[in-house]
Amino acid sequence: MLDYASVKEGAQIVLSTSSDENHPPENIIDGLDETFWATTGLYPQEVIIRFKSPINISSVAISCFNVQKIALEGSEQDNSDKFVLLSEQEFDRDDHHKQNEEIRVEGNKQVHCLRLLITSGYDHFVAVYNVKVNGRG
Amino acid sequence: MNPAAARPGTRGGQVAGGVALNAQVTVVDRPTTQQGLGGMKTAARGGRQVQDKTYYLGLIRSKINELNAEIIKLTKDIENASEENSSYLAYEKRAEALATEIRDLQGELGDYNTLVDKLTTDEDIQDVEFDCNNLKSQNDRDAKKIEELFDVKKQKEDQIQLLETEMDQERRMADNMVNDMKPEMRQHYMKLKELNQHLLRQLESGQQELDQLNSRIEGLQEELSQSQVKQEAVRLYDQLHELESKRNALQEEAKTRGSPAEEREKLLKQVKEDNQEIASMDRQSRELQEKIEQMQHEISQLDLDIEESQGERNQKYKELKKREESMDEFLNSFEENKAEELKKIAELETNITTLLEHMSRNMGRFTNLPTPKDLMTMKEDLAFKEDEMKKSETTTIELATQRDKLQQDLQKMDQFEEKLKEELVVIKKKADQMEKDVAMYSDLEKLRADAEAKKQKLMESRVILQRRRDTFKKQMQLLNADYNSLKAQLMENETYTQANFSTWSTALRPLKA
Repeated sequence: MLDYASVKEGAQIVLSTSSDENHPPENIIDGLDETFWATTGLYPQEVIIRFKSPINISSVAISCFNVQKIALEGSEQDNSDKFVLLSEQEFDRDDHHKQNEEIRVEGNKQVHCLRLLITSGYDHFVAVYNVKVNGRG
Repeated sequence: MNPAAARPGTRGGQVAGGVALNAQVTVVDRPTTQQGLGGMKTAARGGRQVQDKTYYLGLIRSKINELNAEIIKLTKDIENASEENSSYLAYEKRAEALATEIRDLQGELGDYNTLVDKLTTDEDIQDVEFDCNNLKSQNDRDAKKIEELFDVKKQKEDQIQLLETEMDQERRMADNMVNDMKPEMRQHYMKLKELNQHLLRQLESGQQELDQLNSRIEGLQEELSQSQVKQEAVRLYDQLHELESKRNALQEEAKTRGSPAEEREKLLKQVKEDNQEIASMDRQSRELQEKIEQMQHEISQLDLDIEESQGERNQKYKELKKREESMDEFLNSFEENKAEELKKIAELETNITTLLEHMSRNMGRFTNLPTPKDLMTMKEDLAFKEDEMKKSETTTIELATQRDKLQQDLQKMDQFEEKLKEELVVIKKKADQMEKDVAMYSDLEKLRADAEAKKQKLMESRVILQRRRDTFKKQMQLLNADYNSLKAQLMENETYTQANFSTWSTALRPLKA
């Protein structure tokens, strides 16, 4: 399966509310499980991934840490405008372990930009290791 | 308006109902009779008009029936009563059992009550346990005591049995003895036995008589104590007894007494006899006294003699004893003294030898004593040398101070050295670093490549960041637009503006004042 949200497939991070020098948001789309994007405190935190071309998302797999509530929003335009809520999830608390969650997206919408909106976490800081987007190009 | 409907329960009403229901009676039409409203009587109420034989027979029959019923009832009662009587014993037994149960339960209730009491008074469980233990121990003690008493009782019983057996044995022995006796003796014994029994009987009867008499005395005394007159009489009787006895004594005296002359003679004779006797006794006593004195004199003489002889000998003896003691002492301590003295001698000898040695040495020196002139020079020498010594002492002191100073300097130098070493290490490190740097900078191509790569990377990130800035700007614009629209909406809201105005005015008031 193709992972559209990766550098290889031409995805880009166009916006992130936290940017640590050691843990930049690009770590989300580098395809490695060891690197991660770390937030710098406070909520909400968001990151916008732009794909090379609009795709139909069927599911999004996220591996993260300490995330409580997360919302996925999508936009058809490439200039990250007019976002529409795709899905909203609350993850269980899982101390000392990575949360590996898969969010199914219904509706078969064309999405060019995907926004991850972390509205609350189980601690002051959260980390996102990887985001994989499955769908049709 | 129907009277029958108003009072349906009464018998008269029901009987009268038959008539009254059919007749539409109104209260107003009703005649007020002498008996008030109750005056409205029907014919049925008046009883039977014709009373013939059959009627009375009927009456009697009904009465007989009633009596029979009553009799049956009574017999039943009797049966019941008899049944109850038979079951009474069983009930009594049960009652007893229940009473015991009640007693037990009451005891239990008492326990619970005390428990509740303890709970309400907030007593500690430990106190309760302590009390419980106390009671238990007391119970144990009581039980033990009882057991002891039981043991004592058993012992006593045993003793009694033992004594009884003993007595039995004795009796048998006595019987045996009697059997073994000679016929005469036996006869004698039997006689004595009979006498004994007879006397015992007599004693018993006498005792009984005595008891009777005693009881009688008691009764009479009681009687006496009750009446004063009798008491007085007793007193007077006693007096009378006394006086009678006195009179008897006086009568006796009077009988023995003769005429006065005879009497005087008799008395004189007696006096004379007495005087003689006294004189003789005096004499005797004097003689005895003399004898006693003599004896005492002798005794004193003897005492003196004894003392004299004994004193001399005693003194001598004492002296001898003392001497013996001293000699003993001397003998005992002789060895020690000897050892001591020998030791002393040895010491003195050593002393003497040392002194002699000293003297001989000095004698040897005496021969090479210097001349007075030499002495002078020597003295000068000595003075000079003393001077020198003083000087050297001062110099030593100076040197010591100098040494201290130098030591301090040395310490400082040591510290300095350490510092220098540290510096050296740092410098060496620096040199290493510099050497590395030199190596690095000598390879200019690599440096350039690195720089290029860095530049490339930075450019990339610049691009990314620019993109991000753009998106941010866009987002900002969007959000600003949202904000502005919301603000406009708020401003359009009348209540908000009014509220705002009022808050402003309140805020400004103190400024105006």
